[in-house]
Amino acid sequence: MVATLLFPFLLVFGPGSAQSSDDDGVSEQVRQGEYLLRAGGCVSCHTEKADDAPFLAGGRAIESPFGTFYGPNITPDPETGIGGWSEDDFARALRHGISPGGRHYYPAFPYTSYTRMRSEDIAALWAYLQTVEPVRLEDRAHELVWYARFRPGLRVWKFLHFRPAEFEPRPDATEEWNRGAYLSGALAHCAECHSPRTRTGGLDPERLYSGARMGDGDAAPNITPDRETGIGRWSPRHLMRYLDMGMDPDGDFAGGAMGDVIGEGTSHLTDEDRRALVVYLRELDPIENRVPPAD
Amino acid sequence: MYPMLVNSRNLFFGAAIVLGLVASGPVHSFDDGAEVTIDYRQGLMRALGGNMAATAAIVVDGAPFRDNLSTHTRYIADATVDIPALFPEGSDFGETDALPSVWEDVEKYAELSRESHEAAVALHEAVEQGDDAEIMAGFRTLGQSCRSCHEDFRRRD
Repeated sequence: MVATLLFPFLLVFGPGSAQSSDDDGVSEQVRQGEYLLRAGGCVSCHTEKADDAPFLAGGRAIESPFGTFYGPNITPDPETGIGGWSEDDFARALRHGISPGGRHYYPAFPYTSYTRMRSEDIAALWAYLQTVEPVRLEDRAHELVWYARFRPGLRVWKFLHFRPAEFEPRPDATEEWNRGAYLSGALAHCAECHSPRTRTGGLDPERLYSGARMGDGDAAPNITPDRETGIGRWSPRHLMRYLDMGMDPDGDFAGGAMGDVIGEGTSHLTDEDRRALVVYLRELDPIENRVPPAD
Repeated sequence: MYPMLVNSRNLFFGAAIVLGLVASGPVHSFDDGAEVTIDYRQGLMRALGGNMAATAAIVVDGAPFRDNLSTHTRYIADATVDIPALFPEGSDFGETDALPSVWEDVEKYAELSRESHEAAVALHEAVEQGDDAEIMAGFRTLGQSCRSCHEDFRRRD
């Protein structure tokens, strides 16, 4: 009886023949999507910071000079999450920063980086998100300064600062460097916090990765290989350990936003991927820039 | 025996000095005490960091000082016995990176501090038993514990 009832269901929703799946029934694509969720640092903004917070149901406050943003619910709940979205909607959000309803997203959602994701990675992330427990939780409205509330103004911002394009590997660089560039530039979006911004809120293209003061008052340090103001004195081993455990060369442990990035993101990566990130960062042009003190 | 004290003028000045000490004493010693406490806890935290760095060099990277390992882990276990005691009321000013949450969310701070100490004790026990896998796992757990406390309770500059 149960089998009879399940049969049509399985026809529609069962794993496709093209998808490989392991013994536990989780497809390779879903597994890859979960990894990408970690690599993309999605959890840090889309899960409230509390021990019992529902996973990916939003609510995390993100401070910025333009006000406080709240990460939205990205569980597959049809009413309050992304349950009513199509895969194309999802791809458009990541690639172009546009909601299914056609609204421009604020760049607090780092589509400026996610636009570089490979299509197959977007598909994997989508596949994984379908497996997440749906949670019914309304998004919290952003609390922004008046001039930032006018969403159509984001069109101008995007014209100034946003170029949608998938990542193109550099043919003259090693595979490891390209992997690091992809991880940093398309997924982990390191530059979004670690770069000074222009007066209109775009990343300063001349000073990428050279450190900035974040909206919550913490410093996002210079992570170019400058010896005085950046990470030039850190060995690859130090950097690897930092991304893995959060321990710096002095034995101190990361806190604040980076502690969260490590805990929810980089600590979940493979050693190979952490090494690729380190290779990429160490080959950036060194920029001398000391993050200005907090106001 | 002490004729000076009987003198009413001296008695007056004596009383004034005593009263002055009572009035100004707590404020004066309070400030100094808090600053000294901040110095002490920062020194202790740096020492913890130094011992963690030394432990990592031995455990993770195989630095040839294995015989010293238990010295480092014992220090970490001992020094974390009562972290909240390093943060008394009134030591929240000046050159401190401690966030106000240390004094506002006392329970959470105590809980995380306790977890750190338990993780440190577990690491030291693993070192005493000489089980490499346990040592590595213990070090990782302790690091995670340090991080989670720094996330909510320490300003990063």
